[in-house]
Amino acid sequence: MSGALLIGALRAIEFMLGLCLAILFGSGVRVAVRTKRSRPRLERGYRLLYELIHPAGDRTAAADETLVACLRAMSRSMQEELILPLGRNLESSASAPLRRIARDIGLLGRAERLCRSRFWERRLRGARTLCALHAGDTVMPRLLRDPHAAVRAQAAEWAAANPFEGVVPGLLEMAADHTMLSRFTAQDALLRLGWIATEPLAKYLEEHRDEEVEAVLGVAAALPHPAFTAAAILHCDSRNPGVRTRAIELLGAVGGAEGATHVARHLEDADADVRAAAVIALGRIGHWPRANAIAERMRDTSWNVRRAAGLALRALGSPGVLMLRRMTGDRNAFAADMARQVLDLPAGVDEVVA
Amino acid sequence: MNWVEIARAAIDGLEIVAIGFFVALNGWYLLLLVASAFEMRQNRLLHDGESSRRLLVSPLAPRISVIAPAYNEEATIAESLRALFGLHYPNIEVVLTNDGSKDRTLAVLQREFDLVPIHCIYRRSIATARVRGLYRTRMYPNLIVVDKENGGRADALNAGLNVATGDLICLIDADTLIEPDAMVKMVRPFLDREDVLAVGGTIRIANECEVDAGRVVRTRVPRNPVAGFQVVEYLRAFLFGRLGWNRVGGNLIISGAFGMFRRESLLEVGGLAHDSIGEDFELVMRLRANAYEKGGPNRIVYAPEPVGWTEAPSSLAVLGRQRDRWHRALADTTKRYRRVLFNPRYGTMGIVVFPHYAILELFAPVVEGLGLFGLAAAALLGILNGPFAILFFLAAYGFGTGLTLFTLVLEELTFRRYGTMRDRALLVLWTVLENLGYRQLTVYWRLRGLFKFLRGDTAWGNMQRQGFQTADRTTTGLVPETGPVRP
Repeated sequence: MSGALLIGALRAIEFMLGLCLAILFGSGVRVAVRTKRSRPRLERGYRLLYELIHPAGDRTAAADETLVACLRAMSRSMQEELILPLGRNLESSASAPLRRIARDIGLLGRAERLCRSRFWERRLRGARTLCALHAGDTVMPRLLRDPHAAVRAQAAEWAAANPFEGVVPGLLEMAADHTMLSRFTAQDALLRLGWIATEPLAKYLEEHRDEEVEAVLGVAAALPHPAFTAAAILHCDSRNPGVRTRAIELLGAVGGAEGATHVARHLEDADADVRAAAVIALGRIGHWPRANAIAERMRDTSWNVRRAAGLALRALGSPGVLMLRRMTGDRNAFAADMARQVLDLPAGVDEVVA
Repeated sequence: MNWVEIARAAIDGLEIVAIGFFVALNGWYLLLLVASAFEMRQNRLLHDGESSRRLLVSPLAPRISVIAPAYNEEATIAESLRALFGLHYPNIEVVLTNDGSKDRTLAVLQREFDLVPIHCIYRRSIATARVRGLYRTRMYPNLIVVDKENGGRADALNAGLNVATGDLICLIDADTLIEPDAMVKMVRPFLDREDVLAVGGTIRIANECEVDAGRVVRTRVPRNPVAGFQVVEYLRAFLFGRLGWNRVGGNLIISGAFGMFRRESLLEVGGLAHDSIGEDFELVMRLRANAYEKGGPNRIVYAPEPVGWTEAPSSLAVLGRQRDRWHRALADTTKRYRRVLFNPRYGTMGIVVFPHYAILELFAPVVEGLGLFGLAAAALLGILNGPFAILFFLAAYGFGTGLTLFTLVLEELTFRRYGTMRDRALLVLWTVLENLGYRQLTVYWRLRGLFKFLRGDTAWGNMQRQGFQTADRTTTGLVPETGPVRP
């Protein structure tokens, strides 16, 4: 390595060091100056917003327009800093005045344009703005089918906060998406939609089979409704143990004698997860006539099934606790141990150790 | 050929090796730096303006079991545990393992949390030292306390793993201060990609920071040089090292102080190794190697946003013991997994990531030590090319300083945890000064670690620390280190 080469390298390093130091301290100064300058502007902005949202009785439309013009004159980043955090903390109906102001100052128009961009990061930014302000009815449903998972997830979040039936098919499609983030957000959005999603969910469950319905059955179990019973009974006989488990969980959540009968059939299922789901479902339904069958599962070879059976008996109340006490003297040591474990749990603790 | 000529030839050879190694290592670091800048940009694009409420209120949020081992922590345990219950996450379980403490740790827990014993029945998926009792409480239904005989940190974590019920397992040290929103941010990579096996959070140094009720309420760059050098090291290791690895083949290290894993994967590989001196590194290697051998998720992600604060050693003696142990751990794990080296079966881990650790990182102190020795020998023999040596030193240390400064710029443009001019000035000061003595000391410690490894020494050594500076300016007592916090 020649000296000349080293001197060249040193010059480059010297430049790099100088640049880094300039950025490091320059950024500190810039932030300090910007904070100092932006504080009064932000305060002024909040005052303007307050006046626009709480109009005085004698103020004219022209005066309103003057206030909007003042906001419009502010930088985009300042407008976003003023409006978006407020919007995120408000329900759709409560944020209507903010939405109007955002539309007037061009914030919404820009966000809608961003949503049509061919760059995913811009679409995501636009979607986040529209989501914060509960706006974008025309562009956001389309983003449920966006090629980028983060944009789809953002659209699903928007759908959950702005419910209407039109978004449910898109969310159901997303609930079986190939990316985890989209699936999770879509399922979460369906849950938050609540009763609006019930009918399309029931229809989806009746029309689809196996892997397609596994995730959606889980969502339905968190939104229990008698409309799901027929589909859940249908999927109880699926060849896929995952689907059977979810269907049984759904029946347990919906309840009813018919459901309990179908659930009880699976206490002897070949798959341990299905058996565990069946005992938990019976406990959840509170089907005490099946207490003996549940207690029998305390002798199961699978820890998970024994644990589920113990908790199910506890959930049955007095008959179940009586059964648990009897089980502490059982000849099967595993069953006796689990019964002791469950009986030991303090009130309010609903989970046995793994 | 006389002896001076022989020495000159040897020193010339050493010079070529040292320069070659310098170019290879720093070239690779430069690549990592560029990769980390891209990764940081991507990260900001994805997460800026994102609402964490989606996960915070979701009934679908995966259950997390936080496992914290505790050994002789009576002074801090109640506060640490309360801080864990203050974490913002909807579905969390805390498993605290009292690893045979000789002080009143368990008594403090019983008194503060109204613990009641339950029958000591659990699924013994992983063999551990004898568990003496399990405790639950009505006050916090999601708390499980495991009282066991002393078996070391890995054993305590394994005992916690046996009773944990979460889908995801967060392994921490009992004295790690986790930021309240960290769990939501740690879970995010698992939702982003299905092939994520584990996620490591950022570890920052809490020395001289103000701590109140288990939270860091005011950050400060330490004035103590030993702690200050480590702040700079940690920033460099996390912000450009691990972030860069996210793009170039995935990480191999997750800090024992704050990492999250899939429970089923941990159980599949049998938990943490009892016989390893660097159980964190060994665990990640085992998880990834197992994933490549059997299929399944194999990505280890470093997430820069979730932060855990830990106390770094503030004396050279303790730091030296820690560093030599880390290097022994590196050597030990390299030896255990030599089958992975340049083996295409293990994908980028075998071809890129592991060779970096097994060759460049492991032998860096040897080459740097030889370089320094050659320099001294040449000076003694009067054959030193003075101007060249000075230029080379300036270039080598200048480049190192440049990399660190770039990391500080990355920190400044993104997280800006150290916001005052005083902090910036101190960071720059420690960056420049670390090359003058401290870096050479780390070479010595690492060489000592290698030497001890070759001798078969597996002792941890005494790791006493000062305790956090709390808001009322009192310290929380001496807290022994419970595990390695490799930057």
